[in-house]
Amino acid sequence: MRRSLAAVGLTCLGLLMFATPCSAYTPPETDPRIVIDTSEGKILVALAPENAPQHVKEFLIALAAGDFEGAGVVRVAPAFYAQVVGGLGAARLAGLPVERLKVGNVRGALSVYDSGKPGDAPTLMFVLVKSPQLDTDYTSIGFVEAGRSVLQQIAGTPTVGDHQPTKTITITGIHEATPQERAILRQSEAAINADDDGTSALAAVFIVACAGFLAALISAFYHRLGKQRATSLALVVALVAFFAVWVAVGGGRHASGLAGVGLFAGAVGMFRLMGRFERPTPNRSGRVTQPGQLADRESNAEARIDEPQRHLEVVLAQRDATTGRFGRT
Amino acid sequence: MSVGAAAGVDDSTRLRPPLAPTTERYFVNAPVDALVIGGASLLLYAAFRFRPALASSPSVASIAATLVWVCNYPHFASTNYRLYHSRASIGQYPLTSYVTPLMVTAAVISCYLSPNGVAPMFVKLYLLWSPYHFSGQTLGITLVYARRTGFVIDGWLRRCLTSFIFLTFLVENAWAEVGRHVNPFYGVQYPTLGVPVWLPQLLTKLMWIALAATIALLMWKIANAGLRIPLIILLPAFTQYVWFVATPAGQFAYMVPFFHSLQYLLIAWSVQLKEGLGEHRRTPSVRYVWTESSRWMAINIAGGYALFWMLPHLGSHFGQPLVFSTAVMLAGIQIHHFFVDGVIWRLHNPAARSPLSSSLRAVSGRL
Repeated sequence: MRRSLAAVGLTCLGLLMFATPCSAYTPPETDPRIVIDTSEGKILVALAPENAPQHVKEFLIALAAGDFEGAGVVRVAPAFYAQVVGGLGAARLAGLPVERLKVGNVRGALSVYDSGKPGDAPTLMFVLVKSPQLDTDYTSIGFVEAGRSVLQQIAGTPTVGDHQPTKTITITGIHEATPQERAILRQSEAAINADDDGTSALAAVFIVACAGFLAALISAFYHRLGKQRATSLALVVALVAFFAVWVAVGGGRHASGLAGVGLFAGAVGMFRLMGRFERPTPNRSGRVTQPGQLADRESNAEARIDEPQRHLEVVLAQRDATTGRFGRT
Repeated sequence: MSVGAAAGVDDSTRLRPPLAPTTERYFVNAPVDALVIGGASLLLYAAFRFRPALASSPSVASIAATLVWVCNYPHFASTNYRLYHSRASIGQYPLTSYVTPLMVTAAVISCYLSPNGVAPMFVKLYLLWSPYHFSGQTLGITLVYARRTGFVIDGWLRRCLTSFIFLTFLVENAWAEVGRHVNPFYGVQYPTLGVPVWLPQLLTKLMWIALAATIALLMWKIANAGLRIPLIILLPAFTQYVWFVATPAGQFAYMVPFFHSLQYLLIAWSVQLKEGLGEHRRTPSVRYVWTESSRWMAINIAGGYALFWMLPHLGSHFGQPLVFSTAVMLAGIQIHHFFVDGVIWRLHNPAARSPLSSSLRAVSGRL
């Protein structure tokens, strides 16, 4: 039994290690946040002065001057990037050396690229997948906190020629985020891209690990638990495992319609299964329930259970006897 | 005659002659029972349908919010009281008593650790389970009144009626899951499952088939066995149909949990009065009914306050705002309630079946 438990423990530990998330960088809460208003929606970006102090400093100065208005998205590639060009603000970022004090072009980075060529203004680029090949030329000045769906929508715009979007996508403004804006955008992001923060997969694996551990315990102590309790606990394991699946796929956000039907049917099936959870255990002595003994104990329970009813009948009969009324039959 | 023995109907599939009523038909009396198990909600629904101004009144939501403290929350507390009030009760259901709170606590902690990944799905699980739980109660109340009136619901009739009741839940929820969007629940936004539109359409057809089959079987039973159907048996299912499927009537949906809780409290109260006699060795009397009812209700109101006010406020001290804490705690408390309810009120279990035959007249000594 000890070996089994050890094996299960190691397996769970392995699962947890395997589940270590590889999420994008999150700047500290004290760092400034900006809202980028696009014609497709709002994007909340956390600036990272600890990663690119000079770039962020110049960027904030340009932002305060309102220099970014009129910029537009000029190149997009689904699941790769969205490049923004234009606006006077980018000019302030020209000529700065590439900075990467903490992190490079991870998923969700807002990076600055300066070709160094005379007449070419630096461009801003949203990096949609981890792209270490860009680290030599691109400085990550911030990281998208909310609005990934907007970004994916922009990046998914049909293109012509050199990845130029067929639709005009403009940056209508960039401003520092108020606390209310942060909260609202983060909340909607939480709902839309819950699994993108990496915790969903981790949580799902953790939950599966818990279910596995519980299943191993049931298996190890099956004879002491008895068949009925073991069955009830197995139902718990099933529910927990199902919940892990639900968490992993985010309620079907990224699944097909048929998968949604499966999740819906699975949930209803689970609820129905839970109706079989735990039958009463009449044993009050604390002794271990052995298989085969329950039938007798149930009949004993029936007798005990009707005790209040019998008491009521006795009381009524006594009262009727004293008052001369007919007793109940 | 032992009520437990009388209620121990073998639900096999044959049509059998009617049972002698095990005791009185109603917990209180016909009008009160009918109002509480569905009549009052139907009246309110009718009022909302025919007086739209009333339905859209802002006071409805505030009334509903007030009623939760005296009805909804105590109904949850009464379940916990019933399970945890004695060692004997806990001893009968050790897994439900000890394992489910631990499991729910673990889930709540997971929500705090993963507010974006786990919390929305935990809330969603609760919101989907809740109407299923309503359906279970509707079926349970129907069967309780069937036993009390001696009307046998078995075989295909039971299957069809059960199908109809649960299909009302499925239809309502399948429609809510069509398409991909997010819905708010306090501080948590949860996603829909994105089921295709043919699912609720199919389920709606099945629901009508189940209803038609139920009606046909009832008519057949009337014709062949010469039975009269006690209308109170049909009331819970019809009420649930109105709750879930009938045309929306303003803010009526806000009131549905209240009426569900009202149903529950009537039965839990009756059972408590009966069991209290045996436990405290009291004599049936009007005085007993008042004292025991007051004691029980006070415990439940206090319990509801602890569960639904104190726990969310406590949870808000662990790095999440109160709205988030409220959402997660509500989900946890109610999922625990679904477990407990499913166990302690199981009609196959004589422990649950026997006290369900009580009546106010009996426990007040007026029988």
